[in-house]
Amino acid sequence: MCSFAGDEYIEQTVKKYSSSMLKTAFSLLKSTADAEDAVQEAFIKLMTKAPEFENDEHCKAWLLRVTVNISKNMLKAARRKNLPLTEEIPYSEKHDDVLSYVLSLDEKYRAVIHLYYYENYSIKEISEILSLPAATVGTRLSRARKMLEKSLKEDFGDEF
Amino acid sequence: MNFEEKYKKEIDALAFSSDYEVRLTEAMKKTEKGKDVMIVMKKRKTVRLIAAVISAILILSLTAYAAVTLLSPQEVADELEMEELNDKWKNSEKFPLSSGNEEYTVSVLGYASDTELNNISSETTEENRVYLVVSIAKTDGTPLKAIDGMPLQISPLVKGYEPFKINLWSFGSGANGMEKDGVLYYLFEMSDLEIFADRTVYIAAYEGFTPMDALTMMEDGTITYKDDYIGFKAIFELPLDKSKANPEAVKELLSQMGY
Repeated sequence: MCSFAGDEYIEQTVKKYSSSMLKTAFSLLKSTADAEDAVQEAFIKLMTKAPEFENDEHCKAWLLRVTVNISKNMLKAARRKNLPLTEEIPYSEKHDDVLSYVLSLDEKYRAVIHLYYYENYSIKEISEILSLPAATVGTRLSRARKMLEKSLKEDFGDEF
Repeated sequence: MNFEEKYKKEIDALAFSSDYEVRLTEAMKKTEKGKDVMIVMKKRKTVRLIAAVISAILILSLTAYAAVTLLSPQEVADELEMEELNDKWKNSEKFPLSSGNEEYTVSVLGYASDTELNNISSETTEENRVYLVVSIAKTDGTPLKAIDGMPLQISPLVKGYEPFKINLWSFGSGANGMEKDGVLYYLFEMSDLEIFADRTVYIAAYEGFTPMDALTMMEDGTITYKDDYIGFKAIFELPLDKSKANPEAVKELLSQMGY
């Protein structure tokens, strides 16, 4: 159930979905603090819009879509001001692992990679979450994999 | 460990605020009860007021609809996060093409083509894809709203092929839409329409579910509206790059469709 009717439902909804939302927001914002802000706004939208959902999967997809949109808006706003969103050192500059390679991609590729590899959504499901044609999602996934291939082929061999 | 496993492990190792879930839950409970709540985010210097955020969400932005200045196709593409189409718009000097009646005005703002990797199937192949930007506005300037849906249908059609044979569905098209200043914009993505560039390719606007509801092919192959069709009419000839015509690919497409 995905609803903000009553304390119990609030607890259940936050417990069930906030982790996925935080990680999806992070894949775009590259900052845990910014991701927490974005998810807070997403829950506020859930509370104010109070949409009806057919099932839990529908609810989760809606929350992820809102989280992605809020994250993108935060990135756009930061670009307009020519300022970083957070004073943290960007994750991709600190680490030398798979995640840092993904975070070095353009934001539109990161969202697709995250939803495909972490949330295990299909291309069609990702297209519904991101409101994009499935062909566009397929193209972005393909391009992202190609860009990662060069960097990661040594470690992951046939994966790409 | 493969890429997927490593990626998942590293994402799961991210350190969000240890008490985030608890704080968020309490804040949402208090907000539901109508109280102002302040949440101080870790490592943040600024404090955010949830009430202010709610107000911002609930404020409706009302813009007076003035004289319409249409967006360029690239501006539409930028809004719809297709920035990569920059510099790929073809025959720009021939656009926009506009037509309408007392109710709606439809404009074809431009088309682009780009070579893309297709990874829908298990193989990765390269193919040419075409992008078409169309706007729909009320002729009297009354704002349209995206939430009300697409008021008209749009389809490419080709001279010499009945509308039931070659239409939007033949090209596996998907569309993304947006609204700006009361005008609806649609960016259609489709497989290679340019293979028909040695023929007359139309972009037709109509009311109904399928192009066959409204349009027909005359004896000379010209596409036109049916005599008994009562609805919106606007049909444009798309100025394609004729060097991209590919009769072999047309034959292959028709063969795949069973014609």
